[in-house]
Amino acid sequence: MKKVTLTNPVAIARLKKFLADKAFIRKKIREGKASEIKSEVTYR
Amino acid sequence: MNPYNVDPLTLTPGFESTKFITSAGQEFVVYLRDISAFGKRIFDFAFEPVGAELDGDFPVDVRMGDTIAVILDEAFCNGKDIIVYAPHENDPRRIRKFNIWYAKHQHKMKCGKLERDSVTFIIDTNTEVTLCFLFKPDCASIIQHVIATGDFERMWEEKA
Repeated sequence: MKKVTLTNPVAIARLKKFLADKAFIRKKIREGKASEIKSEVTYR
Repeated sequence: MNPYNVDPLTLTPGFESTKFITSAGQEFVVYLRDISAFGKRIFDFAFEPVGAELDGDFPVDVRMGDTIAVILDEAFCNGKDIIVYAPHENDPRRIRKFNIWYAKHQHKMKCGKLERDSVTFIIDTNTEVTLCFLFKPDCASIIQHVIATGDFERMWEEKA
């Protein structure tokens, strides 16, 4: 497995937001509330 | 392949989702979230069981793998270039399952040749994030660039 250490704090923050958004989507789907997934977790 | 019946796509700008129900009665939502960058159509992909515990795992069956293959095949046929799969909490079992799924299904997909690669980004001493990429061959240089340099921030930078 290739491993790359991210050092750019902006990149790290954005990757963490990407993961946080995924966790939010995961939670909403598992709660049966997928319809509550709004544009704040979509990028386009 | 013997996929489950899949609902028509529900489209929200930047977010496509669909559903299927397994023979065990478990409903799953599959989504594709638009994170396009580098001039390519890039989508974050995942599927989750509806009504399951937040940290609970779920049983898988052969038809689920077939269903996911059909959904992703259609996505690539409809112009998507790169699919990114980031297993929850970097779960090595899910990474392994993804690799097995790809080995079993790659030759069954009709969208043409696809390639696969993955990288683990180390954020700090306690946090690693593995991203699995499934992509069309003409995107190989972008994936290699991201993996070789860690320049994944461009993908996020464009969303700021």
